Amino acid sequence: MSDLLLGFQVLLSPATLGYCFLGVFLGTIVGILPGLGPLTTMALLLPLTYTMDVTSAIIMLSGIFYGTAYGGTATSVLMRIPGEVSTVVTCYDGYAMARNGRAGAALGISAIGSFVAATFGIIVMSWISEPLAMLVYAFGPAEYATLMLAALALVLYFSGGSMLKAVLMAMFGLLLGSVGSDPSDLTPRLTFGAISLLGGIDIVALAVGLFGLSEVIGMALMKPERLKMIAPPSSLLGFMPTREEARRSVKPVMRGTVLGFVAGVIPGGGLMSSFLSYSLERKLSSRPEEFGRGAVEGVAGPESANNGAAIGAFVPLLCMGIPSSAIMAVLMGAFMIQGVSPGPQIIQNNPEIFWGVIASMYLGNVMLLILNLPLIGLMIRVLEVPRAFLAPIILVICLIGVYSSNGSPYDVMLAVVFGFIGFFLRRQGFDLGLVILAFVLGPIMERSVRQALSISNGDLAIFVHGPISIGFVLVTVSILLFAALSRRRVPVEP
Amino acid sequence: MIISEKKWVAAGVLLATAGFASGAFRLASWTFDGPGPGLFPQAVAVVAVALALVNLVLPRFGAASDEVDGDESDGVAGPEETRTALIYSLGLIWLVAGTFYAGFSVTVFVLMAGIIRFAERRSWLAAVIAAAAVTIVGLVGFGWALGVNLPEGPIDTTVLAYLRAGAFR
Repeated sequence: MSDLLLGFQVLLSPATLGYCFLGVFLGTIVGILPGLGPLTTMALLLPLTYTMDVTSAIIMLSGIFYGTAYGGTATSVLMRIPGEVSTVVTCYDGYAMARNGRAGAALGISAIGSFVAATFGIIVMSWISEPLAMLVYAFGPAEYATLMLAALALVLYFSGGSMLKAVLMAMFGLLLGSVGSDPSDLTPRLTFGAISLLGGIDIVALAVGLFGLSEVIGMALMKPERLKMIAPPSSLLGFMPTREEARRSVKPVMRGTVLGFVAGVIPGGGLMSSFLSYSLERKLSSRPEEFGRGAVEGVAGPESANNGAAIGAFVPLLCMGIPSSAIMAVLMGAFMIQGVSPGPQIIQNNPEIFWGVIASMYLGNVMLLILNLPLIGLMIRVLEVPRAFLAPIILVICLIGVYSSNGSPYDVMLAVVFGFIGFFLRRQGFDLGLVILAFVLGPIMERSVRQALSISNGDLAIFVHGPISIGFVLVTVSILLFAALSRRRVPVEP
Repeated sequence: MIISEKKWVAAGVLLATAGFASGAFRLASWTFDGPGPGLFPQAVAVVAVALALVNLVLPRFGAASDEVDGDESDGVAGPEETRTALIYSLGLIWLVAGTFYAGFSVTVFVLMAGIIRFAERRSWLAAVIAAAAVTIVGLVGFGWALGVNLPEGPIDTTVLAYLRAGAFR
């Protein structure tokens, strides 16, 4: 409890509070804007965090991430356009409710369910983070390497589309992560004679290229159509569900909360939390025929689940130093830029950062509730900015973000190259998030593998020596076998 | 015979992974004090080349039975959209060239005005006003107020020098 109070003490400085608000505000806007995801926004803002203190930087970037889980709901309910992948299922029943004249209730239940799920997730995270971090201290290089492998296998399993393409993208990310001077003896690796690559590929150039610039090229290929929208309620009372709707939402919110948090903790699981919750609610419902036609359970469960998952995703990163998704990998990049390693050490060495982030989530969720109920009508006006101005402005933000990270025009060149590569890969159904994730995981995994092999003098048996590493190897093998046998995959991220 | 975009992309991926593999196998995999710089990239590159080859030859391998073919290029864009995308692509090339040689203000102004006028077919007036507004906000807001590192050409150096000297106080 005293640790959490320390967190609130850090948070309650005007500057940190301001960054917390900025993060959740941007998150809501990004959630509302279809196409512009949290990953792109976080990558774009990453260079701006250089001059900030580490706690404010992480609080702002985290706010963007969990804020999008709220903001994406509005477009799903009012326009049948998911702002984010996690809100795709809300389109089914949320939009149907809106067409039945219950838009306010759908938005209200979503916001309240999201708030309950996020608060539950934060409380659980506050309690389990320290014991979980202690567990990681028992890990040696072999255990850490096999843990990374298991995490990567899980992410691959849960990623959308073809398994072959998913593994290929992970390998591509690992190779890109190897570019630059070797961390041990500074031998240039995979630089092909380019001096500008000796320091490695900058994560900002890679992320902005793959997500920001490729997105703009994709945008240019689409017809700029006027969007049709159902108007949200003008007063706060309009968001109140009826007694019957509230009664029917209680259990789905509870189930979605727990399911979402657990799915979020599992690497790669966050993406599917809302889909799992929707399937579960339809299965448990006494009125399955209403699903797709405005069943309130189809909104309450998935919306709670995606917000629970957003909080759960922080657990592996903050407690074990393992990013469970591409977004968490960018957040890990922000930690590393500031010279702080997320993981068990952060709780002991930098408690003000760890507990400051946790405290910001409590307050950030209250801010989001306010932003997403009475102010949603105002926020949604951002969709009226025409593409003719929005797309070139995104290009300029990309330029500022990439150039400012190292002051190198070569990074801008790399970002543009990755932009074209990303555009073509995305058109062929490749999951680009895996490239970023593997890019960040790669150097950590390589370091652990090399340390383990140095200890064992090259004997691979070290990876199946202790019970922990055997456990992770078994998990990896089981996942890969299961993936090979099971042919059904979750939908691919657009 | 017309080669589809899917095949071109698969061939490109194979070429890229083969390039990485050739670079990786020039490095030592084992040195006197343990694993060398080439060990990890070599292991990854071997798997990557094998998978890229399978992707080129058997693109449906490993795909879910109910999965729709991932070639989004099948939904062909019209000539107008293709033209717009081409101008945006030229804009990206200009972005790189401008960053190297022209500095922030010229690059951003030309990029914004060019895209809004030619790709989005808005009036010259709208294009110039939007371009000027974004250039000023970028240079003053990011370059001066936030102290962000921007590519500097003669215009940027002059304006930033004036601002830093407190010319507008």
